[in-house]
Amino acid sequence: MPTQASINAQAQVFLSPAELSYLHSSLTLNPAIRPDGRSSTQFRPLVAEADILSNANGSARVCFADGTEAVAGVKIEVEKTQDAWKAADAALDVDDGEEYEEGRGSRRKADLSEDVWVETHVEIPGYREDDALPVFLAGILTEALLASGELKQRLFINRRFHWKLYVDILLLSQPLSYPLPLLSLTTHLALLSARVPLLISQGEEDPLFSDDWAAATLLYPRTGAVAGDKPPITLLVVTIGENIIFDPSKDELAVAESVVAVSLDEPSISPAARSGKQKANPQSRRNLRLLSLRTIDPPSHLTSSGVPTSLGMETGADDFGTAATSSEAIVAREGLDRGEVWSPPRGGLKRNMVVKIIKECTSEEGVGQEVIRALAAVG
Amino acid sequence: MIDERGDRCPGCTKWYWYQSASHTFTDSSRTQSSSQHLHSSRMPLDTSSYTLSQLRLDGRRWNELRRIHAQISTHAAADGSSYLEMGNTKVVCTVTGPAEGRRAGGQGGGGDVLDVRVEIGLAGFSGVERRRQVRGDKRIFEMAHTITESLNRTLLTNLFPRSTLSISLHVLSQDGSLLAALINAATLACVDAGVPMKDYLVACTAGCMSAGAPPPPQVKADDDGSNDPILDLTALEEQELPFLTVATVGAEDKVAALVIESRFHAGRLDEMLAVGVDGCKRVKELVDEVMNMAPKSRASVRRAQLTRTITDAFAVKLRDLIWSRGATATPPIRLALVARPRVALHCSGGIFRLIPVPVGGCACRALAVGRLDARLKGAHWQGFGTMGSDGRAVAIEGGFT
Repeated sequence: MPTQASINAQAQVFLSPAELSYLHSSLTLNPAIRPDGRSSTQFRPLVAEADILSNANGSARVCFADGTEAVAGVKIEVEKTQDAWKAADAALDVDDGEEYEEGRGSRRKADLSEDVWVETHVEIPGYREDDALPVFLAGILTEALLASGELKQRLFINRRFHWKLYVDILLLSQPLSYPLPLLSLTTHLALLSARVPLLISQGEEDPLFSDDWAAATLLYPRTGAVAGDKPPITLLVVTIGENIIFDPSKDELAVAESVVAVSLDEPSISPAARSGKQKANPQSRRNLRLLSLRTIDPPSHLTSSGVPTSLGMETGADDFGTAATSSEAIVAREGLDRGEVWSPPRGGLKRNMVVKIIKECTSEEGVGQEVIRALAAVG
Repeated sequence: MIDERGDRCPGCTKWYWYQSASHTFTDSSRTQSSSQHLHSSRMPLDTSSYTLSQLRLDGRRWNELRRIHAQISTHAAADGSSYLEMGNTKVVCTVTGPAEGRRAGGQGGGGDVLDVRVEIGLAGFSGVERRRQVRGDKRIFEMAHTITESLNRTLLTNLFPRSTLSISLHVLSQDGSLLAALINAATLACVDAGVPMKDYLVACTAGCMSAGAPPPPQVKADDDGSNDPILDLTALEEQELPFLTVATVGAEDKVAALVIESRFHAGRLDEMLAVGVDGCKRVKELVDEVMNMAPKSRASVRRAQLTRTITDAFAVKLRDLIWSRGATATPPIRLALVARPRVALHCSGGIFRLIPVPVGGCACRALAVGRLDARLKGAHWQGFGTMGSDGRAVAIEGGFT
């Protein structure tokens, strides 16, 4: 379900209509010619490191090529489940701890786990924590984390206790371009490196954990029975003409016709599939799962449109002249062909473009899989 | 007094050393513990010169700093940036400016001097337990205020009228000496941003093992050193012991900031301060090392920037000076850096040579006043400066009485 959100505050565009027009026309070519010479699916180089802080369960730092940088820390704490005896447990017949293990139990875990167990906070310098931008960004990230439901099941300890997962993301630099992909990749890395102390109590006992940090298990295990799924990533995709462009720079965002935030994750291999053909090569690439797709209000809406010479210089310059002249100019502009001069896009996303974006992101040779593979190499 | 004796471990063939019981002024239990041979762990600690019992929780002696690791120019997008670790306390600092104040309206960036703004962000994951920073936390506010005030006195704020320097500090991990780490990180980032300053503002903490007791009238023979002040406290030590944070300007004994948040006997202040100031000197050496370690090209660019800032400001001041005396034409003013430790000022042929002396050095001042008086009556100089041999900038300022 697309949700509109404003991106304008940090992405002020200081380009003239002529420059915008030039950028736009070169990006609509097939193949698109980007200002920095990348291909349309190519990412800018980034610096990433994981597990950098000893105080956090998992942490990561990612530095993008444009100088924006974020640090994410994951804290996992035991918390008492508030309404442990909610209606759901009426249906449960609890007599031993076995039921959580496999099969039947996982469905119950899903029933009992709650969205509030995952909390995400984004801090952006110069913004209050209750400003729209940090709240909205945290919302997108939390939504992606909770979408599959697998994470919150993993936070389940027993019916009285659960892990509470706090993801705190600090943007260390000013938000030069829309920081969503940066924050998402940092969160992904931090969650990949997150560890949880080994549980040594069983079932409904008060939870007791191993003191040995070396025995701690990964929140997203890479091997073993539950291996497979990876934390979600959110990518920013821009459409210009018939082109889809990944990892847009600030200039490219300035002429984007639509901006889409796509959240993806790699689902875990189902036991059935694992016993089948997947078993031969567990490292084989899989299709990604689409978690959400949001359109984001592009900053190009805020640009001013160019005035073609055919309309006459005085009409353009004298915008505040007589009412008749300026309204005439507006009417005349409405009828113009888009290609002639720059005019801010009117929004909207064609259906075939949505299909194209999803295919590019989720296919096993697609961009999403490439990003996930690259980040897995960091840890 | 100390009788050292080698002995052979019954479990292995290695020799180990311990301090023998003839060390008369240590009590028996302590001697016992120090002479225990921990065969299972590793090579026994060489305690021949220092008893184990006098080591702190993390194995440091009373006057040892933790490992300090720092880097400058860590963020490409900021004007100046630094990353600093003091033990497990990890801080990132980014500096924007000096630039024209962002906020319009009456407040901010409108003054005659540089407006320093400090913002501190405690990451939720920085402590042992996850804690969200509350808006308007008084302790954080006080820290920010302390840093602002001490930087205001150390940076040459008068060189940047109507501009703002925003310093944003992020705490990634806390393990004691937080304010000290923040001050050091802010200093590094300011140097990286090319803001002229009198000298490095460096800080560290000092604590005291005996809280309420007054210091002994004289050092007794049986003083085993357990009442010593200690340097650079960790979070655990900060919880247990009274401590103070002291910041000094450079390696001199000039205290720029002193923050005491706990109670202790007034008589203890002297020795704690002495230990703290001594620690600051060592932090200063480490900061110097960081500067030398910074990529050479970048460092030289910074130095050039610094020089330009100083000389430009000097030229502007001088021009104002001349115009305000009713001169009809501005004499050509050219400022050049002759050698690194010297700034030479060519003013219509008259040469003012600035000798590298500490800020406000009398010799320097007298020389400049003498030369300027020849052209302009009544000129006086408030302070002088140059690039020190270690790359530090000092003030240059002129005016009339």
